[in-house]
Amino acid sequence: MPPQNKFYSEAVVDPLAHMYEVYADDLYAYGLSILPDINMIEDAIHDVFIDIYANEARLNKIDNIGLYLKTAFRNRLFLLLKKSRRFVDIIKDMNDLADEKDSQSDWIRNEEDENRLQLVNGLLSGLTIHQREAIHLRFIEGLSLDEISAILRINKRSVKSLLQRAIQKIRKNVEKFPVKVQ
Amino acid sequence: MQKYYSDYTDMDFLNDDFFIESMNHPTKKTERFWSELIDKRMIDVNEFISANMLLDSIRKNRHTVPTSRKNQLWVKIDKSRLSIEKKNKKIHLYKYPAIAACCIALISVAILLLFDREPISENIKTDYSEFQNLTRQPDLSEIRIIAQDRKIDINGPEAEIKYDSAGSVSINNLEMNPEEATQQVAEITNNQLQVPYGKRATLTLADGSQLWVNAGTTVIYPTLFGEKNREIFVEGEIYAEITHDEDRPFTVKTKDMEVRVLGTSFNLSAYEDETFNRVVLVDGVVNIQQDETSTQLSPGQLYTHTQNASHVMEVDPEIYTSWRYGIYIFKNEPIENILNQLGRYYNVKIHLPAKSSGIVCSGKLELKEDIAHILSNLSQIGSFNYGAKGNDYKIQFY
Repeated sequence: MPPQNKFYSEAVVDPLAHMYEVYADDLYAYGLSILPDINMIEDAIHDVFIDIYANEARLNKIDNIGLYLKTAFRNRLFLLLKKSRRFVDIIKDMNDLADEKDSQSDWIRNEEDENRLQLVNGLLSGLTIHQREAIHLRFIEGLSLDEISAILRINKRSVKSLLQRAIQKIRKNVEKFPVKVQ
Repeated sequence: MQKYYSDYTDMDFLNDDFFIESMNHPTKKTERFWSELIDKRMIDVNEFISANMLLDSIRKNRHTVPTSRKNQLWVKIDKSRLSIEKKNKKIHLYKYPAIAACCIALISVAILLLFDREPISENIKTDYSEFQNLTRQPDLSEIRIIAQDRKIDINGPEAEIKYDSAGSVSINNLEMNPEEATQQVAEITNNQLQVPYGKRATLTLADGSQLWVNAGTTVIYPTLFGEKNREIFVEGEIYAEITHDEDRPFTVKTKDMEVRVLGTSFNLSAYEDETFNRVVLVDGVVNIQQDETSTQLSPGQLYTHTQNASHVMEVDPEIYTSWRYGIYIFKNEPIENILNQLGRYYNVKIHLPAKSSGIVCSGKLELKEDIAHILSNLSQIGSFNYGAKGNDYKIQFY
């Protein structure tokens, strides 16, 4: 039997609204773990949901809608980010043309770029985007390593080492910025 | 199982699916399981607590947004999908295939507008191609606005055209009939302003940005700008003062270059019949995209592109922007460029010898004098003779 998306059963009056109700918080939280630009995050969420609406037939066949949404959202967000970066870069560092070219080719692999989006203080300071994402998906959303590897499009071993390094940094940060635990 | 956890460090715990699952979604069974291990000292309690503490502080880091914000976004999504739905319904109304095909084309445009929300597409040359055929209006004698199917000709050597934020138009401070400001989907309608040789116009766009449009120039612009970006197309020369709006970058497209700004003043010259493109920045920042390279200007810099080479140099911007006050200043400018420019101002044809003279001039011309007067003055500095036949002037260097 082909997997049926529970949001498209007869009982749901407005599947898209229902889906939004269930997943919007998660997507916001995931987006904010990647970058602090809430407008861009909302644009990405908007686009993903409209895309779902335009392609309902295809979506009906997807069983893990949460995973699908996260992946689609992430792709969209990075695309928007990449497109906007040209602009942001111009404003931020006016004299850095060489760097601008780098960011156009493949910014995510560019260590310098990642560092620019790092947080200055707090628990997750010093973590790269990838590390923050992995931490979010693993510990806040409770996803399995397989699911994370599907979303981040890296293999399971890389997810593991990503998490390992991230936790080590977090542990150091806990000492630096103590958090109260009961 | 218990033995399995005995030498776990906090890191090991955090790598363990069962540990994470039971902390994120504790059940009676898992609680009993872990408390038993602790009671019997079958795990390192310190490591266990440390893992718990790390997990806890990470989970405290979850971002939340106010419900109102979430609801607002839903309203927006709902609106977007309604506009898709509306268009989709229309298809079923038409039974004739030709009309249906036409509607599908319209819908795909609408969807493109919805989805293709990125600032600018990459292929500069294709985008305004349909307009480019329209821009060739050699016989045009008056300043003309083409809005949808309407053509408005404005008499006189200069015109002032103003759009307000609601999309209604006034020409020379005369408000147009409000019904002419189209009510339905005003933001998608592109208008064309054609300024023939010998005339000039100022154009205030819906966002408050102001353009001085030089002779022999066509500007294509929307009545209202979208939410994401502002974009116009120019063939010819404009001086632009762009209203600052961080959320909506402004792009000026020409046949083969793109100038992107947030808010700034600059002069752009891209005449079809001229061999160069020029951008002069007065203040702010602009980014120029041409032949897949991007160049960024600081105030006081001039960007020139000829054939396949472009370069940037420091200049006095006033030289390049004074035309909007009816004064033409030039500095070390080839005499041919000056004469071409004058031809555009006065709507006369200037025939130049094929071979360049190599003469460069500096000076200032008051454009209110008549062309014969200017040419006779210029011929002395520029060492040329000229003959006139109606509106045709033939230049000969000696």
